[in-house]
Amino acid sequence: MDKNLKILIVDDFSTMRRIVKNLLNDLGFQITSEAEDGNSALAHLRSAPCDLVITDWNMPGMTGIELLKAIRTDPKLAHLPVLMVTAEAKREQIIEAAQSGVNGYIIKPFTAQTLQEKLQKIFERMGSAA
Amino acid sequence: MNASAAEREHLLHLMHAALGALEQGDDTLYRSCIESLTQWRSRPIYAAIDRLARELTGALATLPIDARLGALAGEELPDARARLNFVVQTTEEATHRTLDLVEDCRNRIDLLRSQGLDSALENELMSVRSNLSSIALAQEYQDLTGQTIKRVVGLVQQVEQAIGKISHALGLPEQRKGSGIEAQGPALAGIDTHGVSQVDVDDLLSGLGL
Repeated sequence: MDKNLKILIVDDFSTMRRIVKNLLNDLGFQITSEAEDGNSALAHLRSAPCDLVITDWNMPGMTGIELLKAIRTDPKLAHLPVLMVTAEAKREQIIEAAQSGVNGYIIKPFTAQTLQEKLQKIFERMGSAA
Repeated sequence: MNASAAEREHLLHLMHAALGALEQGDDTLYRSCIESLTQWRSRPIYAAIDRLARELTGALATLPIDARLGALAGEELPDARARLNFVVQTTEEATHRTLDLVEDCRNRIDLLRSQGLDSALENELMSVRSNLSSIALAQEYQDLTGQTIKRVVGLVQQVEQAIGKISHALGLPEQRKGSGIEAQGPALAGIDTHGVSQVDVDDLLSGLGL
């Protein structure tokens, strides 16, 4: 895994952003930034390029699924990998996310190992696509 | 629905009159008869609405609607929301405090390891570091419980608004609750007036000779 990847963490709970950031640091990723909802995430992505977005679903303002759709319809961001980390666990929601082009889906509460596995999978696909 | 004999009589009369008017080319009379027939036909609907209205009034009268409803919307539900928000805020602060300390410990471990340790000690430190990571991850409960509580807060607010409307429509007064000695739970800044500090407690007790 390329440890120099820039990762944007999107969650309305500051504690969860910190926890994800901690886990990413443990895995060797040091370059992270944070946003508290889809709107600020989009603004961030358009001003400072990122390599991966890790987003919650349920957020005030713009939700994670809306952020995912916005990313996929923006020509400059469309190819950005998006990992959903959320407590939303309905079958319909997961299907909706998949159809909207999500690259990975983690249900909260999750373990460090799950995060590592899903990231690995995303990076493998990115590597084979490149 | 069966029409009574008198209604049948009335109906027959109207229809004969309508037929007669049509045959004689009396357009005005014909229209007037048809209009009466239409009105007769819609009478059961009005009767049903009238019956519904009477039943609703009766049902409202048997509901335990009293000043308690005003107190619920005016004070108790906003109070419940504030307390739930307090729970979210308090756990969030505690979680940040825990994460601060976990990060500090991890930095100290990294500092120790950078000084060159024998492998047994290095292994022990790695175990401690791994435990610290698990402690940090365990704090994700705060996000989950916080989301759940925020949802309940939203629901309470909706109920509060609905009850407020009913209470307002019925003209019920808002009621303030008494200040007895019932257990209140923690005193919340901005919500509770009963809260005192440890200093206040000490002063109060020493004033009482304790």
